Amino acid sequence: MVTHSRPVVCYSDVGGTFTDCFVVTESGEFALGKSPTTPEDIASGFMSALDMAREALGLEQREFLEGLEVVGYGATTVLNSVLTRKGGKPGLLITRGFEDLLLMERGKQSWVQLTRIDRIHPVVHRHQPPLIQRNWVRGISERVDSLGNEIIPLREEDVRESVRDLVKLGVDSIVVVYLWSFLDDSHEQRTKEIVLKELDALGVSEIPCFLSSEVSPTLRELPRANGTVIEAFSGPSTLRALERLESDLKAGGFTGDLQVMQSAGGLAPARHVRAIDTAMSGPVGGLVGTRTLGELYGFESLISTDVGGTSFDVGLVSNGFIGIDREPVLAGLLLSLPMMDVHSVGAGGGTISRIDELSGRLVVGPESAGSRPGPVCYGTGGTEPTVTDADLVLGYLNPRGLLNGKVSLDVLAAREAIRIKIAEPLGLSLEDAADGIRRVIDARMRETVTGLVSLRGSRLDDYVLLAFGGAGPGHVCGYTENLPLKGVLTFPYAAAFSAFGASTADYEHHYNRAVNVVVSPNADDEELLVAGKRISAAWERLEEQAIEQMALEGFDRESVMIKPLAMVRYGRQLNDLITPSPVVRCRTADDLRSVIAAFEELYARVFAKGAQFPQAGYEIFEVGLVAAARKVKPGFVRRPLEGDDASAALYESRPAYWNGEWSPTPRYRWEALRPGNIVQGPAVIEAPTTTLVLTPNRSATIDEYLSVWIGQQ
Amino acid sequence: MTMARRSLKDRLIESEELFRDTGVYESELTVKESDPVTFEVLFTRLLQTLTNAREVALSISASPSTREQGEIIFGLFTAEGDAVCLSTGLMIHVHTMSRAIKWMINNDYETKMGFREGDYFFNNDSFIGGGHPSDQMLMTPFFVDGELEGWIGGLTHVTETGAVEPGAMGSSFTSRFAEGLILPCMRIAADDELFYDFDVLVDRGVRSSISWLADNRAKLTGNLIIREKVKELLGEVGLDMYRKVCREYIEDTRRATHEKVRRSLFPGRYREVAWRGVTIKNLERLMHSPCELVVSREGRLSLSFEGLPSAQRQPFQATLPLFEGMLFNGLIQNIFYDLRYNDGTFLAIDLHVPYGSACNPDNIQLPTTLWGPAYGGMQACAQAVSRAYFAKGYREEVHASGPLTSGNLAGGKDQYGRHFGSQCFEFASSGMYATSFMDGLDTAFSDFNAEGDMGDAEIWEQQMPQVWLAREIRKDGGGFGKFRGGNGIHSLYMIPEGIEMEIGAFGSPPIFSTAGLMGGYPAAALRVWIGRGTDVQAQIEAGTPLPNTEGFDRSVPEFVDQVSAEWSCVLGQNVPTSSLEPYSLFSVVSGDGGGYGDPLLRAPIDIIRDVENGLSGVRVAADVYGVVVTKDARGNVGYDKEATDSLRAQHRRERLHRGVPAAEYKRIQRERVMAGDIPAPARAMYRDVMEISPIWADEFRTFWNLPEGFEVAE
Repeated sequence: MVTHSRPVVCYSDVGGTFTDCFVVTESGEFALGKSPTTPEDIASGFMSALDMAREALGLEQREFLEGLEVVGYGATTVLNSVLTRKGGKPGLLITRGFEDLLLMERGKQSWVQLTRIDRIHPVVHRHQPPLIQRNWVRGISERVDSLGNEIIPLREEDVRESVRDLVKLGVDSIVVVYLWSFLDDSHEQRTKEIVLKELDALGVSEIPCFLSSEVSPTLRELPRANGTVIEAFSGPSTLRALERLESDLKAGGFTGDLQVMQSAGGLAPARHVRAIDTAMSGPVGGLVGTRTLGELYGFESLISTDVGGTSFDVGLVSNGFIGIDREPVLAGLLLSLPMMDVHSVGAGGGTISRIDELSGRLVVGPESAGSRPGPVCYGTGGTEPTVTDADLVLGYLNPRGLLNGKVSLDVLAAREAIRIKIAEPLGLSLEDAADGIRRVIDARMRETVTGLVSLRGSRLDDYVLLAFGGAGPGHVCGYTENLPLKGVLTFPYAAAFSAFGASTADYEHHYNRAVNVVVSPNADDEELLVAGKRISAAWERLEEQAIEQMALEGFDRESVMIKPLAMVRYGRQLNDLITPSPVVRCRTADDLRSVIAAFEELYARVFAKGAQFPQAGYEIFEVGLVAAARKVKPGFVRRPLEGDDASAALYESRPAYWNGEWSPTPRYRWEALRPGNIVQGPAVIEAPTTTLVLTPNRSATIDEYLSVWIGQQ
Repeated sequence: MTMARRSLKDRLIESEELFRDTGVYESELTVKESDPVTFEVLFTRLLQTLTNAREVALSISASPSTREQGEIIFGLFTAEGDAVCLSTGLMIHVHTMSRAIKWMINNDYETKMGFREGDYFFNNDSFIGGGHPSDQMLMTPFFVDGELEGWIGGLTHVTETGAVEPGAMGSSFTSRFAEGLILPCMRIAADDELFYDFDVLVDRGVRSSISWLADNRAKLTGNLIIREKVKELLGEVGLDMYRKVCREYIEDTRRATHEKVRRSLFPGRYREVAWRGVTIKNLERLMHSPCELVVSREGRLSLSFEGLPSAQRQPFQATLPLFEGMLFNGLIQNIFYDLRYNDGTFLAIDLHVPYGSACNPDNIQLPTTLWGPAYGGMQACAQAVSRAYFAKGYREEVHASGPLTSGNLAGGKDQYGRHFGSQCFEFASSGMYATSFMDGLDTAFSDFNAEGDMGDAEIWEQQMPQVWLAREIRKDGGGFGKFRGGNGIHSLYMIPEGIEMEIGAFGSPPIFSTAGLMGGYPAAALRVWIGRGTDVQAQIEAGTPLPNTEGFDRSVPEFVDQVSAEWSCVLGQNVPTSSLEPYSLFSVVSGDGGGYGDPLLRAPIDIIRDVENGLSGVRVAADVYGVVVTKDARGNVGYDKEATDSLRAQHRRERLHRGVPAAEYKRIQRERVMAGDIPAPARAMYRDVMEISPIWADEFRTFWNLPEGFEVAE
């Protein structure tokens, strides 16, 4: 394809194995690039993927880069740094008495990443080595209490001695974590002043100091410490890598700022981003893309389902709002920072199936063969039958291979593995065994979807479901069968949907701030006014911070959208609900009542009416704010409908296994399908990077944007 | 003509008779054999549903023990009350909710109360089901075409029950009436709505009702989610299929349980014992939990606890439902973790617990709060399983004893001016046992809940107003060994200014309660230090660094040296709650794990790591491990190889010198038994056990070759 249209947005999603690149032109054309990730020098893999997309558009590099308005980037750099324990050498100053915090891991970090079976099998639990070794931790005499009052003054000589000591040991940054510092940060701030002064006196003023009240100002000392330590451990190298990448792009002709995807879903300029905020950006693109398509089609409530090699990731866009998980886990470390709420279970193309030795029952997952050794049919060393092997045996995947034949598939090996390891022990035919693997994995995905919707207090018939990821179109008919959804949608670019999604993100920042508001059950106007004032003051501070930050990034006040949030819970509850506030300030008692009413309405919807508990009163220990500004987005080309006849895309018929028998099955080239075409199941629709498996009772309708609507007969 | 519906009681009797007569729960697994895929798909959907419900309930709960420590479980039961499928969570309650449902059926609730859809029955009477009044279950029946087809149950552990002491788990209780509100299988909701008067009852009956009431809502919501989903599934597959697969899931697990035992454990008879005790006013007695495990060649497990002490007016004992729960919890963690555990696991095991013993009391007016020998019984059983694994060659599953549960309780008025009563559940992250290949994890495990989580101190300080001055890994707490036991937590609390509170603790008598294995040492014993009339306020004002550690000298902790106070030390950890004035200090420890193997075989590199991390002292390294630790000018820790070899050789020579041949040892000890030369708490135990169990008494006399009718001296 040679384009005459200027490329405007480019987004690269740097995964553990591959870097995907998605480019959109002014006229709405898409181009994809893919290249192996180069962890030692992210720019190299990034530029290779970019080149592939550029070549697909038939453009020269300078012409290509000069044309781009936005280059976005999402990476697992921080994750890799934490996983491999390759990073900086921070020292830690912590409230005296809590020096063992990182070694203790709250206990939970020794099992939080394990499977259901391993969690109740303690001999396989393990502590992880801490990011800061214990003898680089110093206790500082100081204490603030749970109301934010100082009860032990900061002992400044402790700080001075500790800094000198740590510098002698060779630290390259200093982290400060004090209890309750998110309520009153004066001890941490004073500590920073002393640290910087000491460092200056020691001639090492380049050593940075990170405060927990600045990096992660939220309740819970371990997640707050983890976030701050990760920023110190992985941040400097991550930010240096981003600088190098931006400079490479600029040298090639790009004139804008490199934008980085954040875990909470928005883009931010690489120069202004905090590494920890980018740590979990991987699954975010899919959700952002889902919301964007919702806007395109006019749907406010959507389910994103991403079927990859190892996991099935589900997220919800409800009434245009993407849920936020405030307690995510990164590489086994508990964090306290906003991340788009994505629910993952171990189910994907690489999921392994086996027969349980004790009961003789069929077990599918959660273990995965991953990309190495991979499914048996890849011929890369895998010996255990996987979901992909079952898809191949049943005739759904093209035996000539994936990626237009670049990845060959060994059908015989897949058949043999399923025959010996599944079919014979169960006394089933080869095909029924393979079909069984699919049914079990589809059932798990289905219950995950329906469970999440009910967990969030919603009804399936309010939602449109989007299926993507390399294996999404292959299983979407299975996991949505007979679900009363408003619609089911998938795409020819399903395998690169996350990169597409990220390219549609806005500029966004999330801010949180602790408050200490307890509202009694029968609060009068006076009590509400006092509480409301505190909340308003916190919102005001956050707004100032947001406006200042966005100004640095080039946005004036008018272009910034502000959404205030209150984290509300019933008295003494331990979990709060992020409640979008109906008012921007609580100036009257009724303003706060309206915030509480919004919480009550949300609570009844998310849980159940019977779970409401207003007689406990309310607590608001944190408020938040989202500041967003619009970014140039890919245009979607609307094409005229060309009739329902899809025969021009039909290229062959091969047998596939449906409902207990082999039947001739038409196979279509996805790129040849035209708007308006309808394909009746059973059928298989192939794209280079994905395959849509249309079961006998389903149909596929291509719409004006080349998206595919899956119907139920 | 319409057939009269059979009562639930008749159905239960029939089901139990079938099992008793045939030894199987369901004779034919026709669905599993004819359609193994559908069999699995349905189970997958049920399991995911229970898991989802648990997630929701966790978000609603107000109990730190539920939200932070995951003390919550949901289950699906047959109409007769047998558990079909369970979520993750508190494995102790795999069977205890089943017991409560059966109790209602056997006690004619069906005719006297009537069961209707939307009804919810609450129970925290641990003689009926559950572990102690803190364990609170909510059960709801569901119906198809007017017939009760099954039950859903949810259980959480709440931290306040309105007991004599705040925090529900006081060590001073001498009767059930001290344990707070105990409500046996009461209907507390109809049409899925909780009764207002029940909220009022709880609100006026306990110090702080929020966690109890919010947890009720959490369980109700979880049950509701499961009920709707199960009914949807039932609509898809039909009633006959649903009933059949439920019975098959239980039978399938029963068979798999036998198979797991047959493959994993070496057949034979294994005996172990664990120790507990009572230290309350006017009663000081050692208690033992002897466990005999018999593994048959066919994979049948039989457990006998003949020789348990008698039940008495003290809280260190348990009901039979709890003891069953503890045992199955231990067996699931140690052997059956990879099964689809349900009541099939329970049916696969023969259990003998003497009636009238401290794990099966014959008087429901006795307190059963703190479990005592039931916890020991689980530890002894786990040790026996470890030896059976070892004999079979599965070294990777072999481990020493897990930590003793301990903790602290408090009540009063909190910093927000609200009444509170709670227990601090940070002990859920105690020290783990050492295994045959690695050290036990520090602060990460408890036997009663494998998913150990101590919770953040900031969360606890919101719930209980004490201020942590230190929260550290206990030094040298884990049992010494080639692989050391995991260390528990040491916490030092300060009572803040302006707070009225009473505080206490529970644990065990001052004995080694956690055994080592294969030459490993037991874990350290527990203790509480209380400092009244301290100079802490003056020290704060003077800017002196406050204490932050227990230090390495167990006899006088560093904080005792650093703070002038009227100090008292309670060995063991049983301290009834009492008021403490502001700036008082209260130091508690959680349990540590037992060690594995000879400490002289421990790799010096592991000792260096512990010294570097501040977890072990130089004195212990030399005296116990025979390792001479060195430090260079930069503070780097190492060891002197030559001096170490020499010291280890010296330790071995001293051992030989101290050693006594087994026959000689037995002769000396027999003389002591004959002469009554045994500490008083142990004499009291032996006299009690020999009285309650003639079988055990005969065996004791035979082993020591004592005269017929011999009795231990008073």
